[in-house]
Amino acid sequence: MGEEEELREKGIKALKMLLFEGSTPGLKGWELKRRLGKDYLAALEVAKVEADKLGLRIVKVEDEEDKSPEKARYVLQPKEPLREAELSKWLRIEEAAALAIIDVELNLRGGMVQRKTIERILTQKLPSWRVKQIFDKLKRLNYIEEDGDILRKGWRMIVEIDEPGLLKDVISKAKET
Amino acid sequence: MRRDKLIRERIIDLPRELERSGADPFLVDIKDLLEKLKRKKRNVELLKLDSKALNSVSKIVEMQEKWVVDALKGLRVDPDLVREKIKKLSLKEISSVLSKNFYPIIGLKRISVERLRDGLVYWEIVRPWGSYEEPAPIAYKDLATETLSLTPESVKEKANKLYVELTPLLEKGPIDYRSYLSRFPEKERLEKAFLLGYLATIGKIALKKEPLTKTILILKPGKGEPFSIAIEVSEIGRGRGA
Repeated sequence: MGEEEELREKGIKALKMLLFEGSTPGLKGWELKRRLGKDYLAALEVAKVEADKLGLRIVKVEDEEDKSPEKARYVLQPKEPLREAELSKWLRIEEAAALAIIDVELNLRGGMVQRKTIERILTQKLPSWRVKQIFDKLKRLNYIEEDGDILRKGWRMIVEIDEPGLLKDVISKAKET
Repeated sequence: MRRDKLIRERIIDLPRELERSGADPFLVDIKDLLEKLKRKKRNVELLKLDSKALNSVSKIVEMQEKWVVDALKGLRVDPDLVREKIKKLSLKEISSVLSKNFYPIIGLKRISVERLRDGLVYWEIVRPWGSYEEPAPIAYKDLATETLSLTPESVKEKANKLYVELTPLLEKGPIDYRSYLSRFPEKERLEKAFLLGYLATIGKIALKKEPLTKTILILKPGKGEPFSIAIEVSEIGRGRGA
């Protein structure tokens, strides 16, 4: 098998590995390296081309402390945002709305906010037991992180949400209504 | 005509005025502007003004986008303004806004063969839940046994005969299982009970146990999740239910 052909096969294998996720979405660089070999980064480049044909993109999420590719997480995302009806496959309406509100509030407050502040906002429209459930779910899915009483953005919030777009659309939408 | 001209001239000047005053470009209602441009018959002069006015509208949209991005970058957004705007929206509207800016991670959850095997083992050992929990089976040594002289062919034949007998009765309504069997002498009763069980298994009839009264009814087959029940028949005909 030629070198080029071998790399292409590794690229397809990388794409399959990213598609069939385990308990946490995506794969760390070291996991890909262990399965694909030292040239896993080249294989990822091939995988990006193949993903593009499917309307997907491979995104690298760097570790906060260690910026090496081996510590980064690689995930698959759609190239286009979701259609409204598709969102319900990920989150319920109130969960999606809460995620948007938390994201906007975190941006307004420089990335950190007290949990009770968010609770006060969300309980204006949702019962407190539901708010607690939503917090738990968003934490479990890595959309938010909680450190004592302080909430921060989880890595999935940063990767999956186009934040300037969201804020712009929140303001524009409010203008329409 | 003069009024339409004035409206268009006013729209054309708007971007310049916003720049000069530094006002929030979201104070301009784009939807309303476009509505105003739709109205009235047009002549060449108005069409020219329309084109300039539309250009101005697109400039204002650009300014709105720039305003948000700049504000977000420098965190200079007035938080109260944004919160007020969020308050005006319903949960559905907010979730709809998120969907336009949401790129979820794609992945298929999978299960390994080992995990499936574990699941099957677990299913075998887990205790039934709620109403599905039946009393433990009676130990075999305590059971009265009786040999029935039946062959696979005779079972089918006798079951069919019993089904023909039951059909007109079932048309009138459910039959009490114990009363029905109590009409027969002991040996025949056991055979009938076996045949009723066979008819229920192949779906020709249904047996239902009323949870409160413990009464067992013979019914026409209906909808619902089928499950097995154990029925004691040795006491039937002795004036006492099982």
